[in-house]
Amino acid sequence: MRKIIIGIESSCDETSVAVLENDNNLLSNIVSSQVQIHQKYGGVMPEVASRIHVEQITMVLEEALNKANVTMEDVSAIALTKGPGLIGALHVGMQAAKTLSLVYDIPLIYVHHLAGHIYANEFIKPLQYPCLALVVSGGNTELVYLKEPLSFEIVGETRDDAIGEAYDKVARVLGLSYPGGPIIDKLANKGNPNYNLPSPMNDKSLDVSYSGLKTAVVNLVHKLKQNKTDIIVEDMASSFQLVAVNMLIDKLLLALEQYDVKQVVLGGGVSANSYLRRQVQEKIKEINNEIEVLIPPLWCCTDNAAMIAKVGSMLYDKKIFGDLNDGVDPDWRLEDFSLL
Amino acid sequence: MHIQLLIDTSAKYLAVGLSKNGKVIASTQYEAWQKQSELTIGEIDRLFKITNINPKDVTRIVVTNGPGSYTGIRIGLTIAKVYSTTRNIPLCLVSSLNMLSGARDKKIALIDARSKRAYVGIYQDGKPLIEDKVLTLEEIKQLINEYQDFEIVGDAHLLDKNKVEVDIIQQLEDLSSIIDDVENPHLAVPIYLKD
Ligand SMILES: [Zn+2]
Repeated sequence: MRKIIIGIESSCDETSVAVLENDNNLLSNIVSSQVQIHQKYGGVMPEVASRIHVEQITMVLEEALNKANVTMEDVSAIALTKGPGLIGALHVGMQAAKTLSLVYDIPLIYVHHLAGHIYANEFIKPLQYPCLALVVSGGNTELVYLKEPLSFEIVGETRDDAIGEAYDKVARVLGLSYPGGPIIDKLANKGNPNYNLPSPMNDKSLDVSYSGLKTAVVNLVHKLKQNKTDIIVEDMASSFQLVAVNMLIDKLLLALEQYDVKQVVLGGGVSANSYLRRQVQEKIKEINNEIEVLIPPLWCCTDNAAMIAKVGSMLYDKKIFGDLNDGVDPDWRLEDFSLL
Repeated sequence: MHIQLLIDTSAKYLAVGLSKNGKVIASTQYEAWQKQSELTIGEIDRLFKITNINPKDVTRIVVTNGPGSYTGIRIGLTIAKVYSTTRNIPLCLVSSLNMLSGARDKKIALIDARSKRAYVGIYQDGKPLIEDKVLTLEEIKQLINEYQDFEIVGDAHLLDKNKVEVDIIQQLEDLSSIIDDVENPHLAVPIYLKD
């Protein structure tokens, strides 16, 4: 039988609807990004994001169905992001999904946003277990151990800011635009890491911390400005990126000493970072050639509904459906989404 | 057969109802502050079940689109927009101040906007005499001097009068026959009145 799963994602600043056929055939994945609107505020404004989701949601849904050439009558289930994310933004996707579930009498499937980022990789290649996932984005920095499908154990995470937040902050202090990740990456590739920045955490845990690095950049920039010394933006970007990414790599390598895995998978918006992609591949190859590195294609690093539909499709087979009277969960822990 | 689904989640209430050929056949209304996200669709589902109506038999959606609670407004309006656009049925938007005023008599509708301000609308037989706006309580006292014989409904306690509660679903049903559908439901947006 033909299985058609609709995915809905509205946890932050992208309104997205996808139509997935039989696990792997992505019929459509429409993403309406609000990035340009939030750019003028230098970050995502939650109230503005919620407003735009309400304006966009039905048009995005209709476009996704049209492009996939399916009608609601063909749909087997609706998968949506229940959390984590911005509460007001999540509400919109939740109400849209519940309405479709009620009107078309089809099951709801609640999906954890970070599980979506991890399983986005399956559009390229199946995950092999056990594996380690590094999920890095504007809101998350997590090292996750998957012993089996849909079993998640967070083995390391940030103790303060997410890596993406640190990129945004550094971009702002250097007078660059939002979001900071892509622009710093681009500049860093043209510069050299000539500025000395401290590597803040060097304990034996698998956690990272970005507030120290962030503050170090801010203080250095202010000091240079006070001394009327020209700042070489490319070099500052390069110096920051070196420390920020290597901090992750160090913890990843440390985790690989403790966990015997077949694969390392990347996910989340920051996994589009060119230096991170290179470093992960090189360093893991150096220590163990057997471990396969999965890196999502650029189109599914950032938030999208295809990845939500993907996880939804797995849960559909296991008949794990959501209750119509459930709410969103802005602080949902990935572990609580585990099947085990 | 003309079946309307009526929804108001724009303030502290969760109010949903079904009407058949102009008559409300099932409805519910209770205080559900910040619980509308969880409960609204479940309540609509319950109404369909007790009336034995299939959700696909609904022929028109009537919903309040503010002003009021930002989150609440978005919940009702998202449901209404998705319902209307996927089923291809008309969508009727009603200002929450208009809903409080109902379709009859002379009314001043007030909704608390906090910080000594309120949303205010002035209606006669369901038609607006002024544009809905947000004003300070002092400004409202000035404004309503001209409308001495109008009854104050909604958050009248802000002006030291008794709070007046209304039958939300009945008022929406009454108004639905005098308010036109929106041209394009995709473009329906909440009315926030404040930034
Ligand atoms: Zn994300």
